[in-house]
Amino acid sequence: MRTGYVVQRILLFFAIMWLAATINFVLPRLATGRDPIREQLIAQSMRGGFMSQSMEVMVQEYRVKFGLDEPLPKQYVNYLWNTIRFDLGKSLTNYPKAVMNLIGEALPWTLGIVSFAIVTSFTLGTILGALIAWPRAPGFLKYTVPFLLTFSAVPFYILGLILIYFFAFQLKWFPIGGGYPIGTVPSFTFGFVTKLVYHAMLPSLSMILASTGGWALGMRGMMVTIQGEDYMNYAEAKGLPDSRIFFGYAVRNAMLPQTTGLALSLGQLIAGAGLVEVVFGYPGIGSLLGQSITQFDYTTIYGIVFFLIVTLGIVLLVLDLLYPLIDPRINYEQA
Amino acid sequence: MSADSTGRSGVASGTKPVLSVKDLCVDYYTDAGRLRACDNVSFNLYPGQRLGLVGESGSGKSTIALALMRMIKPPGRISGGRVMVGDDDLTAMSDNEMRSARMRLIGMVPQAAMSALNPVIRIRAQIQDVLQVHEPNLTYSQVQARIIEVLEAVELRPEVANLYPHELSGGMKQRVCIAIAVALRPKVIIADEPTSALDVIVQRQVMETIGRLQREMNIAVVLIGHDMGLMAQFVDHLAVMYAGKLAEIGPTPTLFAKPNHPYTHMLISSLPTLGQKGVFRGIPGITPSLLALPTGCYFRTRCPYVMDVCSSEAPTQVAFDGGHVASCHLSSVPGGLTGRVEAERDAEARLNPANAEKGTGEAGPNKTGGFS
Amino acid sequence: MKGFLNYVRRNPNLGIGFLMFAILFVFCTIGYFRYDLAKAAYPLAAPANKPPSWQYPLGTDSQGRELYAVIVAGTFLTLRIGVTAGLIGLATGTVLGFIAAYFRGWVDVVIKSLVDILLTIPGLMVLIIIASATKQAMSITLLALIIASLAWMGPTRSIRAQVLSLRERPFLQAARLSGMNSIEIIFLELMPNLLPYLAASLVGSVTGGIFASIGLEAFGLGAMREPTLGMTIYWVIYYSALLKGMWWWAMAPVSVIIIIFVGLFSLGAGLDELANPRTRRVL
Repeated sequence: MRTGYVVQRILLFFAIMWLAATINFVLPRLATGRDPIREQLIAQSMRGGFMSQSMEVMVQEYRVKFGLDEPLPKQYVNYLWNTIRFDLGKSLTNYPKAVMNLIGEALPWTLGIVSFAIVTSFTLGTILGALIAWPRAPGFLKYTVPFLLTFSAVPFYILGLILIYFFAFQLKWFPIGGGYPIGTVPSFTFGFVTKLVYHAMLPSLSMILASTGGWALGMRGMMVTIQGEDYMNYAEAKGLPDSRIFFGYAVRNAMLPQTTGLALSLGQLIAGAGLVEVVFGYPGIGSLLGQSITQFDYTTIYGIVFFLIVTLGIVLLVLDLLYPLIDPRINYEQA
Repeated sequence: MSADSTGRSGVASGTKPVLSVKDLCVDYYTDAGRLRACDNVSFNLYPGQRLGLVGESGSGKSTIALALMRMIKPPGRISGGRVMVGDDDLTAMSDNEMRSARMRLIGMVPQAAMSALNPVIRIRAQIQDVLQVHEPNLTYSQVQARIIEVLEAVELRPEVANLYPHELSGGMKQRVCIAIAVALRPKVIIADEPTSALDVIVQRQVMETIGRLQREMNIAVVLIGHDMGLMAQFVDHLAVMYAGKLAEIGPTPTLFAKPNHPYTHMLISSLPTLGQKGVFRGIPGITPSLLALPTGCYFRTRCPYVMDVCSSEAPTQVAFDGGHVASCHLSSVPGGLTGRVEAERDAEARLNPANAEKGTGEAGPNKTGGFS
Repeated sequence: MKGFLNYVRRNPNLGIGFLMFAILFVFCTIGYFRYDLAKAAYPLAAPANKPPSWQYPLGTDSQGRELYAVIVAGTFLTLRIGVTAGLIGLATGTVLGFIAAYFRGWVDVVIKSLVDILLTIPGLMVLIIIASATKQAMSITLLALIIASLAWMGPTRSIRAQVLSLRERPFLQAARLSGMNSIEIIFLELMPNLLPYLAASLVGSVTGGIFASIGLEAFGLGAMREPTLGMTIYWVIYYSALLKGMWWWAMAPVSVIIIIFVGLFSLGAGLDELANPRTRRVL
C-alpha cells in the first residue's frame, strides 16, 4: 500500500517527463519550412558578411552530423535515448560545445541566488504573515501590508530594474550587473567571493522583495482561517500560554497549506528568476536562455527548457513524497 | 436568583459551594444594539454535585459556559456579577491568573470534540501540554505516567496516546477531552453538550464515564444541554434557562414532579416515556430575539397559562422548599402551576373520557433506569 | 455615485484598482491625441538617445522611437494581448470546467487528468518552446493565441470546482424535477450564480496573460517590430540602457507595468471581495 502509492507517483513522474520530452521533440519540427541549420548558417554568414556558394554542401554536412537526415521515428528514438543519458545535443552557436556543459557552467550561479532567495523570502514571508494575523503580536506590522501587496503584484525583473536604477545607477551602492567584476578571473579567494556576494545582492534582493509579500499574504490568510477553528478555542480553554498556542497550534497547522503553495508556485518562481538574471546580466541559466533565444540557438533553448522541466518535476516529486511526513492526516494510501 | 442546594443528601449545611455564580450578566454589543445573553444568573454548586443547565438554542446556556471560563470575546463582555471557584474569584483575576486557573481550578469538556483536538499532533502531546503548562515541576516520566493514568481512567488503552485525532472515533475523541479535563483534578468541570454529536449508545457510554469519574474524584459538574431526557438521568439539580434568564432551578425529582414554571413543565411534557400514550405537545412559537424581548415576562408570548399581569410586570423569584426557585407569576396564585395543570387535565378527561390514561407524561428520573 | 464611493471606502482594493486604470486612461488619451502612434512609436521617428524634455516628454530610445508614444502604443498592445488571451483562456476554461463538472463520468476524468498533468509542467517553459519555434513569424495576435493555449487550465480547474459545489444545491434539483432540460438549467440557473465568480476570474486570467506576454517578450520572443511593453524591456536589456545611463528608457515601461499590475491585482482582490462578501473584515 505504502509502496504502491510511491511507485505510482514515480511512474507518473516518468510519464510526465516522457510527455515533456515528446513535446520538446515534436513542436519545433511542426513549424514547417524551418531548418535551423540553414538559418543558423545564414545568420552566421551574414554576420561575417560572406555568402558561400557551397552553403548547401555545408548544410548537408551539418545535417548528417546532427542526425537530421534520418527518418523521423529513428530521430525520435535517438532523441529519447540521448535524453535519458543526459545528452541534450550540441549548441548551435557554440558548436561543438555540448548543451549540457553550458547548462553545467551556468547552473551554480542560478542555484546560488535562487535557493537563497526562495529560502529567505519563504521564511521571512511566512513569519511576517503569521505575526500580522495574530492579534497579540506587535501592531505596527500591519502597516507593512500595503507595501507587501504592491511588491507582490509586480514581476521580479521589473522590481530588478527599479533596484538597478536606484541602487546601482543613482546611488552606486551596488554593481549594475554581471556575476563578478568585468575583467577579473574567477577563483576561490576571499576577495573574489566577497565580490561574488556583492554582485549577487541586487538580483537576490529583487526576488526576495517580490516574493516575500506573496508568502506573507498567504500565511496571513491561512492564520485567519485557522483562528476560527474549534481547536483554537479549546487550546485557550486548556489555559495554554499565547506563545504555545501561536506556534504549536496555529502556525503548525497553517504551514501545511503554505508548503503546498510553495510547491505549486515553484514553476513561476523559476521562470521569474530566469528573467531577473537576464536583466542583471547574471551568468546563470536565465541569461543563457536569453542569449540562446537571441542567437537562434535552438538546441540550447530546448535543452534548457527540458532541463528545467525535469528539475521541477523532480523537486515536486520529492515534495509530494515528503508531504505526508508533515501532515499526518495524509497517508500514503490516499493518492 | 440564588438557589442554595442544601437539603440534598450528602451535603452538610454550612459547606461552602465549590462554584458560586452571583448575578452574572453577559452583554453583546452589536450593530443593532446591546443584547443581554445572560441576565443576572445566580446559582451555587456544592462539591460532588451535578447541575444541569438546560434550554433552547439561544437561551444563554453556552454563553454561561464561556463566561465561567472567561472566554467571552468582543463584541461580548461580562458586564456584571461574580464567579467564585472555592475561594478564588475568577471575575477579578488578571488575564494571566485566569489562564492559569483554566483546567486547574475549572475544567471544560468541549462541545465538538471532533474538531476540538489539534489535528496535527498526537494525543500524547495534547494531554502533555496541559500538564507541562500547569504543573511544570513534574518530571518527564511523571508526566507520561499521568497521561497513561488519565487515559485508563476514561477507559482508553494507553496505546491511544500515540495516535492522531483523525484515527479515533467520535466517542474516543470525546473521552480524550474528558481525560484532559480531569488530568489536573479541578474542582469543577463544565461539560458543554458533550454528547450532542454522538449516537445514543456512545452517548450513554460517555455519560457513564463522566459520571464515574465525577464520583471517584468528587468533582462538581455543570452539564449543559438541551436534552431533558439526558438531564433527567444524570443530574441531581436542574436549572432551566430562557432568553438569558434563569426560569427555574431545583432538585431534579422535584422539578419533574412539580415544576413551578410553565416552560419547565412544557419541556418535560414534550418527552415521551415508555408505556405512555397520549398527545405530546411541543412548545409553540420560537424564542424571541434578544434584541426585541417582550415586556414583562419573556415567556408570556408562548405560555399557555398567561395572565394579564404577565405583560406588565416581570416575575420575581419565589423560593420553595429544598432549594427550588422559580420566576413565574403563577407562584403567587393559589394552587400555582400544578393547580392549573391538574384543572386542565380534569377538563380534558371530562371531554374525552376514552382518553383517560395518564395525560402529559411524568418522565421522572426513576422511570428510565438512569445513570448512577 | 455616492453609493459607489461609500462602497469603495469599505473595499479599498476596488478603489485602488479603478484609480490605477483611471491614471492609465488619462495618460493614454493624452498620448493618443498628441502623437501619430503609427509613426512616433517606431524607429527613426526622432533623434536617438534623448533624455526627457518638453519636446520629448519621456525621451527617446537608441533606435529613435519617442518613448511617450511607445508607452501609449505599448499599453494598448499589451492590454490587448492580455485581454485576448485572458478571455479565450477563461472562455475555454469555463466551457471545459462546466462540461467536466456537469456531466461527470469519463468526460470529467479525462479533462481533470489533462488539466492536472499540464499544470505540473511550468507554462512559461512550454510557451518558450512554442514561441521559439515561431519566432520569425511572431505577431501580436499569434502571441496572444499562444498564451491563450496554456491559459485555460487554471480557469478549468476553478470553474469545475465551483460548478461541482453548486451542482448539488437544492435549487438545481428543484429545477431538474420541474422539468427543465440541461441547456435551460445551465443558462438560466447555473450561469447567473457563476457570474460574480467569473468576473473575478477574468481579472486573474487577464493578469496571467499580461504577465506571460511581458515575460515572453522580455526574453525576446515577442513580435520584434511592435512597441509592446515587454519588447521595450527587451530592447532596454539588449542595448544596455542602464549601463549607458539612459534611465528614462527603462523607467518609463517599468512604471507603466507597475501601474498595470497593481491595478489588476487590486481590482482582482476587490472583485473577489465583491463576489464573496465577508461580514468580518480582516484588516
